[in-house]
Amino acid sequence: MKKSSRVSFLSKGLLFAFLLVFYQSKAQSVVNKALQSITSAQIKEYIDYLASDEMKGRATPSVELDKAAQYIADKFAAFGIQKINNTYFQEVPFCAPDLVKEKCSFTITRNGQTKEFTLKNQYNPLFNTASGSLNAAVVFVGYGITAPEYNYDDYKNIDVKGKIVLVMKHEPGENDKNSIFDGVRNTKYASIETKIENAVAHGAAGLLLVTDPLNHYSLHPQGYNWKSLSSFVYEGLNYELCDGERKIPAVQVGENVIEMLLGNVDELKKIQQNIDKLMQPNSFEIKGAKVELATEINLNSMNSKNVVGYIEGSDATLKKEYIVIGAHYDHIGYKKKHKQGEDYIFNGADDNASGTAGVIAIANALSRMKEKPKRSVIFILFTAEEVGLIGSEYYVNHPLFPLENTRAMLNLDMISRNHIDSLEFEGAEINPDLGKIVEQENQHEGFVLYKPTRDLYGFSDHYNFFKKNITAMSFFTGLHEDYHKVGDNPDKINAEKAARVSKLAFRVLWNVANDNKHYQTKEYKARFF
Amino acid sequence: MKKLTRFLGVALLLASTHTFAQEAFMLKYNLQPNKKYIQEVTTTQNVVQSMMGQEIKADVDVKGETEMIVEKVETSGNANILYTIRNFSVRSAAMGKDTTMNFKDVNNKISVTVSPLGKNLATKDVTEPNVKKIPGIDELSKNLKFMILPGKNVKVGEEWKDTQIDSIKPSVSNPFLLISKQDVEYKLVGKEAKDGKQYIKILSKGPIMVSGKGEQMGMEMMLEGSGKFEAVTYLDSQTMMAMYSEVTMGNDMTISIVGQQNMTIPMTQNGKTIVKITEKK
Repeated sequence: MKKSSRVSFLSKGLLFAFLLVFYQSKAQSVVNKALQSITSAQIKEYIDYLASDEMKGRATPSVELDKAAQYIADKFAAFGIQKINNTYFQEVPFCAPDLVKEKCSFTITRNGQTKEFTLKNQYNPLFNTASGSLNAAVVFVGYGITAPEYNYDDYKNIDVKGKIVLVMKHEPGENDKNSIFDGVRNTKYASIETKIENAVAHGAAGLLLVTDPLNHYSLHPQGYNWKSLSSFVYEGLNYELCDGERKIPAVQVGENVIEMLLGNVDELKKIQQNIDKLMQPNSFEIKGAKVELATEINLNSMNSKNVVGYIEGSDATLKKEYIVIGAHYDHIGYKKKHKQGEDYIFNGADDNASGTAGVIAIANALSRMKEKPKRSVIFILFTAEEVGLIGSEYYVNHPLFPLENTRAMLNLDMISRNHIDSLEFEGAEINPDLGKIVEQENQHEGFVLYKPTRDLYGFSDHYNFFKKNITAMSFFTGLHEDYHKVGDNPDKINAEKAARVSKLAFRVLWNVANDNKHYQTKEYKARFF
Repeated sequence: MKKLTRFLGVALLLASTHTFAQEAFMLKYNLQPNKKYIQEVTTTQNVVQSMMGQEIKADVDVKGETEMIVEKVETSGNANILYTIRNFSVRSAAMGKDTTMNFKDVNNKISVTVSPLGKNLATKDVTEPNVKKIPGIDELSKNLKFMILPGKNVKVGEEWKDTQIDSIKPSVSNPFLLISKQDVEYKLVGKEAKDGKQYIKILSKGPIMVSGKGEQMGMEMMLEGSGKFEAVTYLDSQTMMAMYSEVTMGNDMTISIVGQQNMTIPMTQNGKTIVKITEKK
């Protein structure tokens, strides 16, 4: 290497190093300036409003929750956050399906005898039953399984089109280690959903499910805890997205139905014994049997809304990639029956007015920056988290921005309680690269970080992003004695801590929205329990 | 003549059946102070839960050995019994994990007062302070129950009914406040030899209804189910202690969870419990 070129190389290197330090310090000062706008006073103001008695605990759905949504939208508008399709709201339709008891009936006619069975005690519609009215012949199809890999097909050489199939629960050789099926664990074919899908695929018009008697002593038709059939089911328990497919009437039946169709339970036991012993299906039409089955489901449709806004990225290419920062803004409402003078409102200051305040504050900070992040940032305040992560489930099923371009999701859920320095973040194990960024950025905030194990996943909206294999994590300052109690009031929160968590989330967001890394995300496998 | 023989035969048969049917037993506990027993309990349970599109199996087997001493019998017939839990093991197999926990020389003690009908009047943990308490001893102590007897003369072949309502409070291992109701139908079969000894045999069966509410990790849970059970019990003809009993039960239940993860979990539960008591001389 010549001297002149060595000098030139050296000077270029120095220049590069100088520029690097210059730009880094500039970026740092930009970030620091933005962080100054995230203050405990601002966080407190948002929490005080969202968790005030006036908001009556922000139940899903409620007028108060809609009011909270409007409050958030107004803040977004004031900060200049962009709308999607000219609105900050994503309507979230959801349902509370229930049986219309008086329109459900079940009658069997066989050999000149007709018997009507009673709802709940003798038959009970399954959770995914469709509404329908049938009058059809009955075909016993064993376990109702078609499993090519085990060379086993209960539907082989039997026509079930337009008929009602009688199916046993579980699978052949359930407790037999030598079974062609697993024998120790149940395979996917044992699931009720798979049995119904298979019945539909073979053209069945309806399904009767019975507990397999060989390995199970009681054949009681438990079916499902329908609100109209149970005094235990309370509001919110049966909320779900209306997306679920209900294809055929499907009910669980008990001993009385088996006695009418097959003579007695022992007969079914014998049939099951033979299937299990030979691993050969034994399907047949039950001669002379007709079933009249009527089920009716009232979906009880309702609506709520996610609040969504975004800031477009500054990089021409990377702006088509998205980082989501979110929190749920709903809570669990108020006690409908309460004594006079009793505190009856579940204000949900920590859960999750705090996380909502954090996201609003971050949106404000980002909107104030002259220099925008390279990637686009989406702010989502989810509805209906407390009744089953419904808002976030709806979003990932109906994304407003392509999920395949959504690089990461950061969630804030309960960020204002417990020790000033304690902070949990879920997702580090499954997203190790994101975990490292959090640890790196935490050097500025100084939290004592706790990383829960994978088994704890699924307790907030980031879970639905995990399920779609999107890198996701959640900030959480831990449970406390006021969790889901009327004592979760604004006066118990630590706004300073919430502001610190929000600052850390901002730093991580900024890093993720600007970096060039490809994150490693391990395959997500649902492990709820 | 032949006709007469036949008639006599039928008459004799009727008479003997009648005599047999007239045999009756006072079904009431007659516990003797200072008698010692060893109680061996074996419970096997299997559960299949439908969760997230999967049918998940779990087996739980419990074996226990407990010493029983009838400490005192009051004039009312109420008896104080001291149970000393000696050994027990719990095996659980679920989701690919098969674990057995063995506890030896546990020496946890529970004092139970039972009425002459077998009703549990009082339960007290009397484990000595220097002895380590096993987890779940409170729950275990509530399950130390006697069979409920009618407290009257019952003829062989006679049937009677009883309704039993039990509640189990939530604990570390059970998040539910559980209420179970059993409508029990009993039948006195009569005397029967078992293992070379004569016992009074009772059959019982009936429906079970279970309901429960609970909270775990911030999620509210409710449970509702029903099923049935059947049992055979052999009573000592002097003390009326159930020296051997075998109970088979099955339940179909649904657990509903509301919280960040709403879920409905249909569940099938089977169980068999064998209790064998031998007198310790």
